[in-house]
Amino acid sequence: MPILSPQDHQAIQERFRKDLKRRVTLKLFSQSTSRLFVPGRECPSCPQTQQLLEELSSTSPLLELETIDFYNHQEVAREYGVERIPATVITRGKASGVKFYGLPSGYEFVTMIEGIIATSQPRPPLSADTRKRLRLVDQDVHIQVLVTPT
Amino acid sequence: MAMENPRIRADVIEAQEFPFLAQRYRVMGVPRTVINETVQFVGAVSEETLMDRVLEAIGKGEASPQSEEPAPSTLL
Repeated sequence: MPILSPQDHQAIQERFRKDLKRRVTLKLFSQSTSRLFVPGRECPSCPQTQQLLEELSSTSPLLELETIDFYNHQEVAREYGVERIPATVITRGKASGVKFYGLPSGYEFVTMIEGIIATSQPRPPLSADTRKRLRLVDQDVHIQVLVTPT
Repeated sequence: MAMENPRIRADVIEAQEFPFLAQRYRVMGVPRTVINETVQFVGAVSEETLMDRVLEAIGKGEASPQSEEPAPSTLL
């Protein structure tokens, strides 16, 4: 049973048709479904996240989904700095620097769509002043935004 | 900002799925933004204010005459 309503699907399709400029790949770090239940490796929102991202990527030929098993490919997870699952990394060539942890529902889903569009554009939508000040950042900065579904 | 400067990485986290993080950062209202474990604030802010807070988190902040932000709190 689809997660996105037909109206949502169409609205997103329209939005991407208009604003998604280049190919973007969503790398979903999840776990493969197997009959073996391993305690400590539960990821209740993994299947739903997989389905939601499949539906999302079907709205545009420029949006791809790649699913990576977190436990079988830990070196890849480390490379992308993925610490927990489900994790969705927005990439275009290389990682955009933005990750989503958990099922991206509600407000977070909108944020992901905006993130996909921003990643596809030649330059991120920042003011000239911000761009200038960003050059002062010469240390690692980790921004975490915690949201709860509405 | 993460897209512009490779030293910056940004994570959006569903707090309900990761209660440990929700507790650690005392998430109550949404969204709560935490920068380098030190600077934090609740709610949406302007791009300019976010830039202020990022610089503050790495010790390059400057006092802004129009700052309406409360004093930064550090996590216990």
